[in-house]
Amino acid sequence: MKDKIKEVLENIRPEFDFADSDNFLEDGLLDSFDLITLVSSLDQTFVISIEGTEMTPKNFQNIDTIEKLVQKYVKD
Amino acid sequence: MRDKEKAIEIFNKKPKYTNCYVTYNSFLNLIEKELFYVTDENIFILKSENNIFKFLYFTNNYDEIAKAESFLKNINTDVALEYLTKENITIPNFEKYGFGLYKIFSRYSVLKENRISPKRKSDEVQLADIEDIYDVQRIAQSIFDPLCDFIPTIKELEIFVQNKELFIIKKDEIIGFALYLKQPYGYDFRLNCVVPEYQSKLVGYKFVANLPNNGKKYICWADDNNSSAIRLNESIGFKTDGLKNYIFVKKIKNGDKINER
Repeated sequence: MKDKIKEVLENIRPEFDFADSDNFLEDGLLDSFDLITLVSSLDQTFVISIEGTEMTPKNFQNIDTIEKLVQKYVKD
Repeated sequence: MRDKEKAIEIFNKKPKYTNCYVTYNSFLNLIEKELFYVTDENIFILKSENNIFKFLYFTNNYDEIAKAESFLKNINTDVALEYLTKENITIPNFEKYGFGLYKIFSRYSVLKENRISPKRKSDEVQLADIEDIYDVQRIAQSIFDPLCDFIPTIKELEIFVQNKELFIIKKDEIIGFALYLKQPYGYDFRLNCVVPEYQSKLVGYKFVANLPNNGKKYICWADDNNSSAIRLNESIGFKTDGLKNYIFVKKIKNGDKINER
């Protein structure tokens, strides 16, 4: 699942190496526009529907937190 | 209360189209502070800024924006609509709803290692004092366009001075100012302004040359028609990163003043 998430991130910002960062928003790898695009891409990739209330910075800090969020919906 | 609950319910479902790129908590702040209208599965928000309104939408179908007409009809200032996109796609037909294309801005960015450092920094660039903020605001209001530019309030300028983010150049009086906003990733080069008599005299370049060196990444925006700003940005290594902001404006005819909350 981590590989798929990494692929989604790299499609959005191909110029960055997401493996190098623990906080994508703080490190400037993603901004709020990218966040909306990311949520939409994750929905499509994993065939889920992430709720708007989950769109908080802490859920999208790094690949681990994103994986935890996606797993919640895939399990459901 | 019911409107707010409905707005939150719609936000939660993530409508397909929006020009409001906010996290959940920022959305809650918006509907707490600003005028908003909920109809069917749409949310329309009028965000007050620079004495105009910015029109924000959440919708699953652009045709639904027609339903905002009753919300907009009593506004007596111009309304701006911003549409951000990274792709070369057909822009939605906002003209149908009375919004005409006004300006296009592009975002520029540069990583620290790619910045072209000027050979010499300018010693004319100095940090602004609190007494300078009134002149800075007066200059900003006379030069900048409230429909598409950021015009800081006095309160905001006070904070920028405290944070050491506002810089000026003075010759008897202020001839230019610049705002470098500190971000976790580096700097947002938010404003660079020179009074008309001193434009084309490299004042803007002096501010750019004095950008702090300790940021990982630098960002700025420029009007696609502002060739001087674009040349200036490119001279120190900024390149467009693909993000564009299409600004549409609805010129409002005189009407009754809307009752503010």
